[in-house]
Formats: sequence, C-alpha cells, structure tokens
Amino acid sequence: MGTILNALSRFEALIMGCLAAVAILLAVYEVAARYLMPSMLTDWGGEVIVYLMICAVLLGGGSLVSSGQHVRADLFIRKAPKPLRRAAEISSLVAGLAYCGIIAWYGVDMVEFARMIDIRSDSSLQFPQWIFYSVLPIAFASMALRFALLLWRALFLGQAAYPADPLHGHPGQSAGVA
Amino acid sequence: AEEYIIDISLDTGPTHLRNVLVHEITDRIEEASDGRLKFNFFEGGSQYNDRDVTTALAQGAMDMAVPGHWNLARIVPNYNVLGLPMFYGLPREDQYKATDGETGAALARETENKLDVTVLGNWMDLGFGAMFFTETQVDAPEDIKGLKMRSPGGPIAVSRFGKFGATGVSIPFPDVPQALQKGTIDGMMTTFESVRSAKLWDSGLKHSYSDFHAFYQYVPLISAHAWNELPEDLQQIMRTTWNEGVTSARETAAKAQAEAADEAARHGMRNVAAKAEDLDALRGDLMADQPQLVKELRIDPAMVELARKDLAS
Amino acid sequence: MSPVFALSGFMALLIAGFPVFLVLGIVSLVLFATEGRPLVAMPQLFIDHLKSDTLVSVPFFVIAATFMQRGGIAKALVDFAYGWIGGVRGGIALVCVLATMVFSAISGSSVATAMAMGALLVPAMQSTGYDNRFSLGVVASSGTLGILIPPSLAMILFAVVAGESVPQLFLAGVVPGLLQVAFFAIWIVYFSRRRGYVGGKPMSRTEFWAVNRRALPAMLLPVIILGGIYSGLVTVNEAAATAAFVSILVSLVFYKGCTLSEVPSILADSVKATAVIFFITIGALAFGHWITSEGLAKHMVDYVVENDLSAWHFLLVINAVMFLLGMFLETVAVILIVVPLVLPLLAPLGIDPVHFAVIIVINMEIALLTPPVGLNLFIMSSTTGAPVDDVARGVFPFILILVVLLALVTFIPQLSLFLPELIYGR
Ligand code: NA
Ligand code: NA
Repeated sequence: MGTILNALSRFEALIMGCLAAVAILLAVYEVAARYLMPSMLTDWGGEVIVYLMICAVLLGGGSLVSSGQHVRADLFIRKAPKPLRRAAEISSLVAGLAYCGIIAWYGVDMVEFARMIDIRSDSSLQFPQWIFYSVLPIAFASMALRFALLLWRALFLGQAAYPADPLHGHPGQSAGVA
Repeated sequence: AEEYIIDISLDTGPTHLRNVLVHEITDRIEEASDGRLKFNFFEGGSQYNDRDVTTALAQGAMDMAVPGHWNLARIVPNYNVLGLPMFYGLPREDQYKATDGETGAALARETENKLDVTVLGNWMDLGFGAMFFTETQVDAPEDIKGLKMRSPGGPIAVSRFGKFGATGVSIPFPDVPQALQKGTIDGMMTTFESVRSAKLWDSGLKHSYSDFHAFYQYVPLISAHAWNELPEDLQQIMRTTWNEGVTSARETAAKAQAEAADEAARHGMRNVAAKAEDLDALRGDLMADQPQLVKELRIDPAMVELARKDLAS
Repeated sequence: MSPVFALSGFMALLIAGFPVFLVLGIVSLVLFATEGRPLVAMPQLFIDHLKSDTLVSVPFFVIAATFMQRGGIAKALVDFAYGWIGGVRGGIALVCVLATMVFSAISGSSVATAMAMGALLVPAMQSTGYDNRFSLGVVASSGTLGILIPPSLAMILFAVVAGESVPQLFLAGVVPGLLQVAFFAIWIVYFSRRRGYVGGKPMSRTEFWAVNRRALPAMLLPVIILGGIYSGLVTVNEAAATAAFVSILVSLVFYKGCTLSEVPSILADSVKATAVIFFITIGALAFGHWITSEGLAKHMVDYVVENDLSAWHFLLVINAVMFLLGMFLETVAVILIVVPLVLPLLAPLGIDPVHFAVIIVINMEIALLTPPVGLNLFIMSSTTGAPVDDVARGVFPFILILVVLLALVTFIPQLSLFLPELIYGR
C-alpha cells in the first residue's frame, strides 16, 4: 500500500514538473513572439498556460496530505492532553476524508454538467472545459485517498495521525509559502 | 400574500449603465407586483462574474442574471452568429430585426432547452463597440495596421485583427489603465460608456474610431428553479413589465452612449466616425471569412440563414 | 445558519489543529448545504476562480524564487553586497539587509528569502563574533522584505480577492520597503557600535570586480521583472514566467547550482509549495462567497455607517486583530480570512484598498516573526539548528521597528500611495 502511494506521489511529481516546464516555455514563447514575430502569436497561449499550471498545482494536493504539509495551526493541540490531541487529529483526518470525498463526488457532477451543456473556451481553441475541470475531482480524490491512508495507519497501525512537522524536518519544501 | 425574493447577479458596479437600467426595470416590477416580488442585488461580481454566472443559473445556485450575449456563446455557440461579418457596422434598428425577431426567438428556445433557464424577454442594450487608441489617430481602417490592441480573444477577433493587421494582446481588465499608459497596448475595443465609467481618457486614450463593429446586448435569464416557484400572475407581470422597461431602457442606453462620447470629447478625445463606404468595403472584405468563421465557431448554418432573413426583412 | 455559530465553529476547528484549507472548506460546505444551495456549485466555484490569469503568476514567482535559492543566485548577491559594504562596522549584518533587499526584488516570498539568506549569512556573522541571537534576528527579520518589496505573493493574493491591479499594489510597497531597509540599517549600525562589532575583511580590488561581475546575471532578474512590468513590455504574468525561465537558465548555465536532471523535481517542489497556497485560496474564496451572499457584509457596512466609525478607529482595531491572528496563523491564511471580511468596509470608510494592502502586508511581516507560530522563526531555526526561542529573542527589536513602520504606514497613506499616484495618477 505504502509503496503504491509512493509511486503515485513520484508519478504526480513527474507530471507536475513537466506541466510546469511546458507552461514556462509557452509563456516565454508568447512574449518573444509578440515582439519578434507577431504573426506567430496565438490567441490561446494565455489560456493554455492557465490550464497547464493549475493542473500542475492541483495535482500537488495529494502528496501534501501524505507528508502533512498542508498548513495547520497545531500549536494548541500539541499542548493538549494526549487523548484529546489524538481525538482531534483523528477527527480532522475523518473530516479531511469526508470533505475531499464530497468535493470529488460533486466535482464529477460538475464535469458531467460541463460536458452535457458543452462549455467551451472563448479563444479560437474552443477548448471543451470539462477536460480542464476534470483535474479538480482528480485532485480531491487523490487527497481523499491520502486522508484515508493516514486514517488507516492511525487507527489500525497505531501511527501518529500526522507526519512530523515538515518545517522542522525538510524546510526546502515550504519555499512557496508567502 | 406570499413574498418572493429573486437574487440577481451583475458583475458590473452599481454605477454602470447596465446596473442602472436593470434597477429601473426591477423597481417597476416590484411596484407592479404590489410588494410580492423583491429583488436582491449582488453587484460588482460579488457573487459571480458574467463569465461564470450562466452555469450558476443552470445549476440553480443563482436566480437571475443579465449576461451579455457574447458570454452565452461559450455554451450556446449559435450566439456567435451576432458577431459574424454580416452584422458588422449595421445600425441598431437592423440589429433589433434579428435579436427581437426569429433569430432571437430561436436562440432563446435553444438557451431554455439547454440550460434549464427562462429567457425573460427582449434583450437590453449596452450599445455599439468602438475602437479606442492612445497615440494613433485613426481615420480609416488601414491606420490600425501594426498596432497592439487589447484582444477579447476568439476567432472573430482574430479574423478582424488579421484584416486590420493589428496584434491582439490579452490583458485582465483591472490592468488595462496601466497597459495603456505604459504602451503594452496601443488601444482597445469597448464602448464609450465603459471608457467613461473607467475614465480611461486619464489613462491616455485620445482617439476613437466608431466602426460599429459589435452591438452589445444583454440577455435576461432566470433559473427554472426560481421561475417555476412564481405564481402565474407574477410571471406575467415580470414578462410584460420587463419588455416595457426594455423599450425605454434602449433609448436611455443610446442617449448615455452619446453623452459618454461627448464627455470623452470634452476630455480631449478626438472622435472619428467610420465612413459608410469604408464600413461597406470592410464588411465585404470580412464576408470572405464568414463561411470559415461559421465552421470554426460551430454555428448552425440554419441560424445564419435565419439571421440573413431577419436582416433582409 | 447564524454567522456567530459559523465563525465560532470556524475558530474551534482552527484551534483543534485542522489544516487551514480544510477548515475553510468544511465551514463553506456546511454553509452551502444549510442554505439549500446545490453542492455542485462549490467545486464549480473553485474551478471558476482557479481559471485566473492573475493567480497563475504565483507558481511562476515561486519557481523563480526556488531556483534562485538553490541555484547559487543568493550566494552571488551576498558576495556582491559584501564587496560594497562588508568592511564597515556591523558590515555583515548590513550586507544581509542589502542582499535581502535585492533578493526581495526577485522573490515574492518572505520565507524563501529568509531561507536563502539564512544558510549563507548566519554562519558568517557568528564566525565574525556577532551575537548569536542578533545574527539570527537580522536574517529572519530582513527576510520579511520578500513580501513588501515587489514582486509579492501576498499582494497578488490580495489582488485576486479584492479585484485590484497587481502592478499598482506592487508599487505601493516600494517606499515602505525602503523605509524598512533604512530603519533596520540604522538599528544595526547603532547596535554594532554599542557592541563594538568589527567589519568584515575588506576585499581586494580584483575580488571586488569579480563579485560584481558574478552578480550581474542575478541583478538581471529584478530588471526583467520590475523593468518589464513598469516599462509596459510585459504583463505581470509574463514577467513572472520570464523570471522563472531566466532563473532556471542562469542557475544551470552560469552559477551551475543545479543540473538539468534536477530541474523537473525542483519544478515539482515549487509547484507543490504553490499548492499549499492555492488550496487555502479556493477555500477562502468560497468562504468569502458566503459572506457576501448572506448579507453579512451589508450588516457590517450598516454598523460602520450607523455608528459613524472613523477610518482611524477601524485601522487601529484591524491592526490589533491581525497582530493577534498573525501570532497563531500562517500569513496566507490570515490574508485570505481577513480580506473578504473587511473589503466591503473600505469604501464606506474612505480607505484606499491599495493603502490597506500595504497595511496587511506589514502585519504579515510581523506575523512571520511573532511566536508561537512564525514561519521565519522556524525557517531560521531549521536552517541553522538554533532553538526557535533564540531566534524569537533575536527578532524582538526588529518586531518593534516593524510596529513603528506599521504605525507610520497606517496613518500616513501617502507613504504607500505616493508612487502609484505618481506613475498611474490614481
Ligand atoms: Na518581493
Ligand atoms: Na506569528
């Protein structure tokens, strides 16, 4: 189970890296084209950059759950008596599973709806929006899966509900927090 | 009697022409309903942008909206028919022939079937689009060649910019003033009223060229969820009062656009109206692209035929 | 549902240590459900807001910052600053402020800025005999400049929620940012004199020119970003993407701080760091959606108008509230919780949103330094191995300086609005 999820995280990271790289190249191409060869300018570049980057970013949600890197204020609860702390952490995992599951579920509805009424983008690409929308239920389902795994480990394997505070562990990961 | 509240979303601010006009009409409806009907406004996009509000109506998350017809085209591509070269540069009396005629009715039917909404009645006007420039005085279409213009995107704009030889740049609206000042763009397409409400002459717009390239109208939509809750007499009141209101709102809008052009002139803008022969020549030129656009924009050829008949009537 | 109930449930979940994105999400979901709204509207709201030209600049800026930090650009800037002012009394501490200022003109994140500078400068100061806590304090608190001097992720998030113009917000941070640099420098010189700190070993002439040459590609980045935006050559988005591109290129080719095969994984790390921000952002936008739909905003405006509150009172109260929230919460969360709530009040009170953005950002700089939850304290502790407590003591004088800066900026709107008015005539 753990190895499968690790493989999934690595796979997600690979996709995220590639999507971001293409987005950067496309953005630089757009700027260059505007000044060097206006006739080669697309009217869909900006739109595609958004699709690529937003998909990349959303796909990061799952591994953030596994590694406990979603920001939380755990200061009070860490000082609370142990049973209380455990109860709070377990319930936050349950809540995470429920919330991400619900959003993924209704996210599928949203995708189906967009497909049914066939929403397209404004550019000459006329890109079917349901394809872009799909990343949202996928991302939330991937987070729900990770919450479920953390819950399983906490309840049945007696592990800590949340992995260690990443800021004290690998600070290189949180460079993006403002 | 029971009271009904209709939540209405407009992404423009309370002083925008559309909001003023919609408030006028909904006030009349409230009055005609003897206080049984109330409208609850969410303005300035505090709930939804026009881009997204149609989906919200269809999903039942919002009761009413009055989005521009161009906003509906991403779901009902046949609305694109109004952007085709055949409409280029026509006076508003001609535009009404289509939007109040068979074309508008067919579009309404399609919208209602597809989106689970009701088209309340006739469309409300914003007015004609014109082209605005910072430093370039444009007296004829060829003067636009080589300029960087803010682009709304889409095949229609691409085709038009191609004919003019201009480059399209996409810029979010809040950034338009500095893009104009800094020369990221040399101009934009919009209406005089929008220039006035954003005081864009302060950002360096000095010239305008009225080529009537688009006639902007708003389509009144109510979600089926909200509409079906209303008793029949209230539905009737809403429909008739709306259409009465639109008749006078159209005159108000035309006057407001003219006044906005005057105000722009007072702030030093040099307004040029396109010559009729230039417009005819340009329309003829653009018409060559029309079959290709119809295909690219996924417009039903039957709709194009309907519009042609309406315009010829 | 009653707002009081919603807000207390909200606080309870935060205190119970639920992830912030989850707290905002659950509360919004419950509110949507109890109002009888179709739940499909919530993911729809998320994706509608994510499809934004403004938001997409955030990952680009984060990528640029990550490569600058790992790719040797930070080191080049520190050497450059050392060449110029390393020799004066308290020189290495001043180098930190100067190099951080330049780094901040490329990085939009305070945490990334502190992280990049900490690893390089704290050991240097300690080996020159500077007080340990002072050294930690200088780096941790200079790092906060990352969100005040443009570009700034905090300002971009404010722009997204408030519908403001990013370039104007960026400009508003310039004068307060330079003031912060000046105040910090004055304090450092005073403190160093009192302690009798020496300067660093002066560089030889050849060394001096070498570090200047070596810093050139790094100095190119602020020129690309700020020069590009304010000359009108590129939009904010394009500037961010270009900065990301150039920082990857410069790291690979010039400073050789990373290899081509490392690029995808560094990209993925940066994107993941952005995900932390975006999941909170969409939750906050859903929460803000509820606040306007419930008419809560209208009630607050009515309250302000009826009680004839002055802008002065409001700003005093909001500063106190943000100081408290900032002690316990991460900055992105504070911005995204506070902005939707107070936004409707700004116009009735006659407060310019651009001015207010700067006030929020300085509050967030303080929040990064105040215990118990101050990210820059943690960063400094984990990059140097010093206890968080020591860092917290070290930043204390700098927090006081920032509070003075906050007071000045709050009650002299011109400090923020001068440049935007000059350039854009708002
Ligand atoms: Na910065
Ligand atoms: Na803090």
